Order: sequence, then C-alpha cells, then structure tokens
Amino acid sequence: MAGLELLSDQGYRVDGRRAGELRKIQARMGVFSQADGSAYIEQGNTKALAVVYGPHEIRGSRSRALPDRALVNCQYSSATFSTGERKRRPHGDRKSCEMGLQLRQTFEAAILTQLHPRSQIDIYVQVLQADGGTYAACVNAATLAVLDAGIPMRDFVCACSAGFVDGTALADLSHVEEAAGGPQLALALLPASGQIALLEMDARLHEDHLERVLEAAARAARDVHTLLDRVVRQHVREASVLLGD
Amino acid sequence: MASVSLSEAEKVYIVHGVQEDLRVDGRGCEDYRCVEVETDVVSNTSGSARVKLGHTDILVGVKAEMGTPKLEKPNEGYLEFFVDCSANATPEFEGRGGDDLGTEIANTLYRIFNNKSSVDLQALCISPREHCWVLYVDVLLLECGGNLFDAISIAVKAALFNTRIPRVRVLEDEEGSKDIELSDDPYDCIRLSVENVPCIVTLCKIGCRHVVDATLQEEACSLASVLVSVTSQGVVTCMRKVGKGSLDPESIFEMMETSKRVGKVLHASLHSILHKEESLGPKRQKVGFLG
Repeated sequence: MAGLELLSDQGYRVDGRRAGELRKIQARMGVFSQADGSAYIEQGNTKALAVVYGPHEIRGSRSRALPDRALVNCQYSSATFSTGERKRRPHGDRKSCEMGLQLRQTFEAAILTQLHPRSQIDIYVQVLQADGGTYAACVNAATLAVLDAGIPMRDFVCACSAGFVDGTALADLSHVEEAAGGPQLALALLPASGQIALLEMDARLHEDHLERVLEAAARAARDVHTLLDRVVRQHVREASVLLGD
Repeated sequence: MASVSLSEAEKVYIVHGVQEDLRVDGRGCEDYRCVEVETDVVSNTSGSARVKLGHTDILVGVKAEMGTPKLEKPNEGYLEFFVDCSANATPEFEGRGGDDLGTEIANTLYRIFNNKSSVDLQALCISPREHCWVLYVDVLLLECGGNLFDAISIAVKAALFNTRIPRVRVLEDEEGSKDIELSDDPYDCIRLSVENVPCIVTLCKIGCRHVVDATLQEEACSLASVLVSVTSQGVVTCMRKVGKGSLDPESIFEMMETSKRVGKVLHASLHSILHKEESLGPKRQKVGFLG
C-alpha cells in the first residue's frame, strides 16, 4: 500500500505493537454445551470458534476406519461476514479445503490417536471475524476445544504467524501486514518438546533470514502457550469449584 | 435438523405433561425460554446480533453493499438472506449436509419479508434505477437446541436494528455523470426502522395442545407445527404448516390466535431490551462468546 509503513523508524508497527509483540488474546473453553468440546478465542480482531465431536463411531463408510488409530476429520469454515468483502460461500472452496487439510495434519501429529482405534474425531473450526492470523487462531482454538473434549494429546499445539519487513522479523501478522505482500510464515509448535507440527511459508525469503523469522514465530508460539495454559487452568479451577471439590 | 432419540416412555411423559400445562423444564405452554440478545458482536459488519435461546445459538451479520435496483422495483433497495448451518451444531451438517435446512430457512425469511411494510426499502434507494443499498443478511447457526425459526427471526430483527448504513450523496456533474460521495464523518449513518419487522412464532402440536418454543425433545414428540410470522401490532405476514402430521382447521385458528398474543409480548420485550442496550452507549462492555 502506498505510503503505509509497516514498521516505523522507532520500531512501531501499524497498530502500535513492537516487532515481536502479540495481539491481545482472550479465550474461553466450554462455550457450547451440546458438543463434546468447544472453545472460543480472540486474537486481536480475529475471532475463531472451534468445536470437537468425538471420539465416536465412523460416520459414512466403515471402510475408512483405521484399525490401529482414530481418524481425525477437520473442517474449516469462515462466515460470509467475516472478511471486509462479503464471501459468497462459507466453506467448500479451495482455500477452506486446504486449511482443513492443514489443520488435520497439525492435529494428527498431536492427538494420541493410537488410544482410539476405529473411531473418528471431528474438529470443526468457524472463523467469525478475520483480521490476519486465521490459521493460528484456528489451531489455538482447536487445541482448547480438544482439551475441553478430554481427548488425550501429546502436548498443546500453539500456532503463530510471522513475517519479515526491513530486516526485522514480525510476529503475529494482522490483515494489513498480510495484505502488504511480504513473506509470511505459519508455524504450529508443540512447546514442551519444541517439535514443529506444521510449517508453511509464502512468498520469497532469503534463506539467511529464515532462521530469524522461524525463531520469532517459535518465541511467539511459546508466549501463546503460556496464555492458553492459563486459560485451561482457570477453566479446570472453575469446573472443580462447581463440582464441589 | 439435529435429531435426538427419545424412548416411548419419555414421549408419553412429555405429552402427558403438556396436557396439564406443565413442560419438562417447568414452563407453561406459552412461555419462552430465557433469551439472551447482544448486538454489535462482529465489527466487520454494518450490523450484527447474537441470540441465545436455551441451547440454540444464532449469529447474524448484516453487510450493506451498493448494487443496482431490481428491474421491477427501480426505487427500492432489497435484502438478500443466506443461512449457513455450520457443522458446529451437529456433525450431520458437515460439507453440504446443512444446505437443505439452510435453504428452507432462507426461503422462509424471504417469504416473511416479502411485503411492503416490513422494511422501508425506499430508504435504501440512492438514485432510482442506478444505485441502491443491498443488505446481505447472513445467518450463522452455531448450536441447535430446538425452535430455530423463532431464534433466527429475533436475531435478524436485532441485527437490522443494529445496522448502520453510511450516508451517501449523489453529486451530478455538468455532463450528467453521477458520482457517489461518502460522508466524511464515520458515525453519520442511516438507521433502519424495525417497528414492522416480523418475528416468527412456532407452535408445535403435542397431543391436543400446542406449545410455544419447543425444545428438541418436544419437537420429536410433535407431529405438526405451524410457523406464524407476526409483527408487533399483531399483524400476520406469513403462515406455514410444517411436519409430517395433519392438523384440523380449528386447531390452526387457535394456534394463530395464540401466536398473535405471544408475538405481541415477544416484540414488546425485544424492543425494550434493544433500546436498553442502545442506551448504554458505545462504551458498554461487549461480552460476545467470552461471557
């Protein structure tokens, strides 16, 4: 965009954040009572809902059942009013299908699927408002929803996006920064072991800078993990108070 | 529709209770569950509302875009409805599974708004035959706990109340080419009058009596329902019978009278709540899904 500086001379971004600073994150587990697990997350202006059903019997053809582990099925849907320009179809287009596959790949790495053979776990993610970092918000919401459903996981899955402008790595991109066309990296991390569940990068980036951008994204993902951990503990505390423990 | 399986004993229990005007959760036959309404939940839209009616959760977003008026109505803008039954509600809605229900609900919404008085469409016209405002009303069904039509109509009304359409001026050049200018002040906008926007009241026939605001379990016991769309003055704009069973004409007339009575009360409470929320001003605490 002409005249719009993504990073000012003093090191401030368009919305006033520093280079490595995350947007404000607020989250809540157990939003819907009829689903097995649900969660809602707000990362800045990006709002995402995740709902988990399962583990339950395979729907549709029994032949898809895997004999040694559970099948993870993800659907990504973004509301028609979520973006600035109205979207015609909430899901079924290529981008949503691709996001669904990426989410599936991320969660197959984290969920202990060996414990539930021949069954299916459904993860449905709905984006209510999209302001950049939708993949990261979806993964974070889905992690909380899977935990709310009580499905055992290897570790939290925390995701964050990162970019590169003027020699500095930026963490947690907003829509304005994503639309500017620079390189964007999406990272999903299992924080305790530091293992990467998903890594995706768009646009050109010199390989010398890759390490710095990856480091910024990993640091931001660990910060997200601290926040999500706090949300989970708060939720468990509230639930145990209600149970009278 | 999300289905729930009931045993014969549970069905008999519900039917007998309804005969005595006592439902499973203690309500009477004409009582609604507790409704929570919140507007301005999504900021990318011109107006939005979230309604929680028991376990039913609906989110409506209204986007105002500029378009050309329809040929047969050159002086009016129009509304377009789209209903998305998301897989959040039930796994059966995954992929295209929710499309049937979504189209049915969208068609019902088109029907109830298809009259001259519900929304002032001439206020949406910018210049006749050339430009008008098109309001895209998008309904997102998040959780299904029975009585979808009522909740959706309440949410649509609240979202239309919350809609703020920017004020535009048409400037004409000497050559006759027209230019549309947006007002400089972002808060300068036109609001829609929702006095005559109807709400749907669904009445389910259970045994010999009919109930308002049925839960999923009660819907599984009823053979037929009547949807009546009622305005705040008690004027009926649309009526439809749904369900597998048949109804005799006397019960249909009784149900219509009930719906007019219940509808007036519903509109009055909705109006008071919407005005109360608006009086809290722009500094009010927005809860959304976090509360």
